Amino acid sequence: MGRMSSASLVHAVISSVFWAVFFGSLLGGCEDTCLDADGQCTVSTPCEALAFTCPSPTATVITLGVGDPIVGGVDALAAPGDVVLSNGVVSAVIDALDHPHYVAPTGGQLLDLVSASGDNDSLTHLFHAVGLLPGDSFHYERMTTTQGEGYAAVQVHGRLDGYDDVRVVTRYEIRPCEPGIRVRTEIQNRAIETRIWALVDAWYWSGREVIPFAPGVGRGFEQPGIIDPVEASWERQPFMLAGSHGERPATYLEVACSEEELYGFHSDQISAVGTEPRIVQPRSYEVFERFIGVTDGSALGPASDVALELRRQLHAEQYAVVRGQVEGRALGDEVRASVEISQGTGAMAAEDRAAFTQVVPAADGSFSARVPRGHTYHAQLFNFGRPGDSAEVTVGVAATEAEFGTLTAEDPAELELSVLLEGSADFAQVFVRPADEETRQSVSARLFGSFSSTPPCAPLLGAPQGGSPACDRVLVRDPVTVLLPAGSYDLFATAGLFATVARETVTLAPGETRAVELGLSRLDIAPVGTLGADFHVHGGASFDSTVPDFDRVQAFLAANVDVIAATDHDAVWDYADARAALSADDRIQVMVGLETTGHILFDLTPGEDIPQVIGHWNVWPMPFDAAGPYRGAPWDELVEPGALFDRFVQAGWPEETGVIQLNHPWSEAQFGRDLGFPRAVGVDANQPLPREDDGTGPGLVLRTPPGAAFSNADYHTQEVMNGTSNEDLQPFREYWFYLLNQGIVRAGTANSDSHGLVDGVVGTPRTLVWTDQTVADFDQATFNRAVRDGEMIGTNGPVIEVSTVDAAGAPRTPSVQHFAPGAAGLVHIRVTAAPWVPVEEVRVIVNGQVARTFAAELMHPSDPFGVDGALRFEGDLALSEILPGGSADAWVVVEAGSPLPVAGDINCDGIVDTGDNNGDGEVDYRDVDRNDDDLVDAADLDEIDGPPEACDRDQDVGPLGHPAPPARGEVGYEFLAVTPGGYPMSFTNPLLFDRDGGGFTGPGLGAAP
Amino acid sequence: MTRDRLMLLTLLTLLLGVSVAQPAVAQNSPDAPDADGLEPCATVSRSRPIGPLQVGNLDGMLAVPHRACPRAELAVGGDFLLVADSADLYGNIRINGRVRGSVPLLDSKLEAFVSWEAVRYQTILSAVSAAYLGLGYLSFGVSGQVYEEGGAVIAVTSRFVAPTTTGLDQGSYPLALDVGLTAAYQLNPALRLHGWFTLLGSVGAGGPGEPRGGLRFGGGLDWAMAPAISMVVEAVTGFGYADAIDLLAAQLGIRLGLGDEVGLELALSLPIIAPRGLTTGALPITAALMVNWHLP
Repeated sequence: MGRMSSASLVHAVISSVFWAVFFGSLLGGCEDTCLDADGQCTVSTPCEALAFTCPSPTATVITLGVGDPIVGGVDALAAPGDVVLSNGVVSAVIDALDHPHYVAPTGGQLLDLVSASGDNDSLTHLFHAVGLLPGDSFHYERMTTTQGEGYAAVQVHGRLDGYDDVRVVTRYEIRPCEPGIRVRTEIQNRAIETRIWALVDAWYWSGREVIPFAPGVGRGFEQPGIIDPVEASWERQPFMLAGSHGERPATYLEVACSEEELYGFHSDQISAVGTEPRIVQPRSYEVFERFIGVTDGSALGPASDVALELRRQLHAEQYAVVRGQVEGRALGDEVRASVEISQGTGAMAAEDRAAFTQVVPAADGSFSARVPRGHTYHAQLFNFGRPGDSAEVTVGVAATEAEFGTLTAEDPAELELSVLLEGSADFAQVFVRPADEETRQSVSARLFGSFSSTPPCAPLLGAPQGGSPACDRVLVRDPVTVLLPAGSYDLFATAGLFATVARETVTLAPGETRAVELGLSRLDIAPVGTLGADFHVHGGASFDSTVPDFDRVQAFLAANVDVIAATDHDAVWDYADARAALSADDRIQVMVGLETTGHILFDLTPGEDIPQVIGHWNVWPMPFDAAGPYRGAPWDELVEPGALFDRFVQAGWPEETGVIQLNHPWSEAQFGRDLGFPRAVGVDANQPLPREDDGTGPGLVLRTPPGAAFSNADYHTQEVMNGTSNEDLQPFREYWFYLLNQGIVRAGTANSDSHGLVDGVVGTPRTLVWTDQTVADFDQATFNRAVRDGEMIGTNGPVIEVSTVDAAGAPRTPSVQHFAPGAAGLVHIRVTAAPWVPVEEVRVIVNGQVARTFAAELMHPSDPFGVDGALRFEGDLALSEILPGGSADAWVVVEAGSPLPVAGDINCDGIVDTGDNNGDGEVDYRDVDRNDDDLVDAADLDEIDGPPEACDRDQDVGPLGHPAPPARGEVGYEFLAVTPGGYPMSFTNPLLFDRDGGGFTGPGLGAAP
Repeated sequence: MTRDRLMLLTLLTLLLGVSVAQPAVAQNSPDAPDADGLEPCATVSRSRPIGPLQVGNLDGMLAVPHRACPRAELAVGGDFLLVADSADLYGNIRINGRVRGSVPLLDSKLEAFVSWEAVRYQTILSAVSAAYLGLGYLSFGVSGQVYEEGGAVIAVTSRFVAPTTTGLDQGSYPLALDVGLTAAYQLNPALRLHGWFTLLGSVGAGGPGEPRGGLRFGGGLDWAMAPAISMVVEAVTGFGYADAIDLLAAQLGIRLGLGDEVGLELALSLPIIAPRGLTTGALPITAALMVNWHLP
């Protein structure tokens, strides 16, 4: 031992002891949280400053059992095992831990929230997260319920899904008389590294559901959503509101208790409100308390009234009541007349005022709303979505009431619509279109001016998300009356693809009432032995639809389809009540199915940094369980398709006779979620698909996931046409051809993917299935065998009949069954269509290439509203003229309709992606809409520094082009009027020629036609 | 425990530490090298920094070994931390403006030191990003030489880190302590070895305690290429604080002596094994630049 300073040693010891004492003194007196108690403690009551009273105070918590009544509403999904908090004013459903929904990895989140009526759930889901990445979601592991004096509560403990070292606990508490639930979340970063959190309640709306609202300058219904940089999306707001607009609407609200205000953003997909994004040091924790409420109806006023009472109690913010009166007739409807109240004056530009709330005048025209004191308020009346009269009032700091005075509403016209089919009242749909530019400009509007990314309605007859009338469309059976702004309109009545279209032009003055009767005739176009089917439709059971079941089934009937595959997102639904109410089963067969919809991102594609989902898959039939989780559907997250198919079987899908369909295989991802499996895994259509799993993304397409009984390619049909506007026809078609060329044969279908009365027209397009059945003697298994066999065509108007004979002399029609071609070598082609459907050319596709086009040979009807001229083309074509020489296998598909728009493949993945959108005759980077404003112009080039590298896979692409829309009076205008955004198109399934006798193995990529 | 109470306790601690100290009494000046050049606490260029590199990745310089040789000096500078983990969409950038000082206590073998992040900027980059700009952490401690013979010196050091941040820590305020041994050995006039062993611990106050402890040891070589300049290479390992093996880092530094009064140290640390180290696919770098004034 060397020299040692005794003084040094003494001081070292003293300092160590001192630190130990110091540490010990600090460890006492921790704040009362449950973050270090491993679930054994009780989380503090949230929002303790609140107190509501009522005559019959009650608060209960129950765990739902089999047979217990469940809340109702378009989004209601409560099931046994879920927990319900009720107080007679509201009921809230917390999903069971093993019943996760949508983006949330586990239950323990808010699934349903209804007012006292108990039947207006319009909440898709509310889950908790601290960011936008998959691992940022709360993963709850334990749930407890408690009930005591004056409260009932659910407490859930867990962690962040991607971080075991972040602990979370949430208490949902309901107290008597309160119009909502109190929620307290505690979260602590137990990691050693610094993180970032924005602790939010993520209200998953999913589109076409509610319209969120947050007070603020230039805000209200106008919300920018997620902007760049992302953190700038978080805006301060005193509360948030969100109203649904369906059959039994509800409005939701959230107010922060532990903070003065909320921070968050809103879009029609999701609202996220909570705390401001902030850096979180190791051990730091957050506590966030808030009140989540619900009121009846779609108007925001009642909900903002609750929000202000909450803020008065929590934050001592005093309010006054402003009142007003609207003069006019037929009031009480949100589209007919609505008042938006904002802070500011009429002299200010609308975007400079601070939107505060919105009310719907009662039938007698009266309205009122609570507002904070000490401001001037502006009331803006909206008629059919367009601004009208306005008023303002100043509310003093001590005032308790103020009066806007009287606002005068526009006098509407009234239209009494009736449609006769073959002389009798029947199901039909009427499209109301402006007949001149002046009317179009005058009546174009969006509901509350919200979400400018969606097209306006002209006119706005009803909420686009809801039932009839919706936007500019009306379902008609018996005479129906609609209110609309004065103007000149074309009224188009349609009863589907195989009936005439009727048109009536009317000019309506303010206050005028007009009765219009439109007559339709059935057309003998559908080939004998066929049933028209739509294998992809959604209703209110889907998380992104609020169309009422009754209207949905009425739309099925108005489209005159024979078979529907009900394929709601992530939930099985059978529409039984609506079918019964409309006696629909006499005219239509509904096969109960499902569209699985991946929400939770995971590592799917090898080498891909961005987590993904497997896209959407339709499956039918599925057993319906009226009260079960997901109503009988399996949980569809975090698996490859083959493993998902196993879950179908476990859920009762009949493997031998059921159908699995690959939906929209090449659609662009939405909200970071892939819609089509092959695009998600990065298929390069210039290269053959790996037959074995080679560790690449494309290698996933044909592989069987470990432990699965199915391969990822064990589906039966693929959508070639999806949606009424048919915007992705070309890439879907090219992917289908790509598989056929490799001998990977799946039947092609055409479906509307309709989610409501506006986004797509049921049955347009549809699949015509050759089967010897009728609706009356329908056998699902037999029908589905024909579907699996591909005995069908897809169409939005033209009907193609193709036949030939095989080597044995037997007649053959398109299907997925291969055969040796007959010696005669002729293909017979017949094309028919309703007179309002233009058919400009018939294309014969051989091995993916156009081998022959008929155009001059086609016949065209003289009267688009008549009943004559259905036959457009009929003739024989020698196979020797179109098939390549030699004995290699070949396939033939026939198409009819409009010429396809010019399209190019600028990212060189073998699938067209972009149209000639700037019209310069060349498809290149200059045709890309980079700023998503639905225009291709110079502004899009400002988004890039220069031309992207040729064939850069990551470059922006699209959109694909459409034929120029015909003007009023031009050929095709009638088609466009009842087929919004679409152009005529039909296709057959293939004729598969096994020319070498070895079965159909495909001609290979790049095979010559 | 309120934040105000915590701050008060921190200040009291600091005052207490100062009050028990006695004025420094110089005995053997460490600044003058032995005639044989084997004085481990001396540098020919008097102001050139010595001892372990002053760079680390934990807040408040926790577990950064203090030199075994007391000095009276004042230093200013800054340190920079970058952690980039693109696969996990995680980025952490931290820039501190730092003030550091040390004075001998009682005798030349005992030293009190303090280091304070007078300005701290930090941003976390992910799908959502956020930034902090404010005060950083304060650390202070003592170091006492307990052995000195034959060109070797060993000191016991202890450091306390207090959360003097302004809004960065939330709910729970971390308190941290390290206690360790630092040794130096003059191999020859140009080469000096140093090594250290440190026990570190931290705990949260005001919220769940979440105590955490670990140990680190490492060593390095200081090669004086010229009287006024030296290069330093180090390896540091850590265990138990974040994981069983939570750190293996290579460190590199350059030191200058700019006359008798002013010195400079630029240090770089590259974690190979760490919760987000090179082996996990991340790019973690910590760097520090300090300019010191050697006080009389």
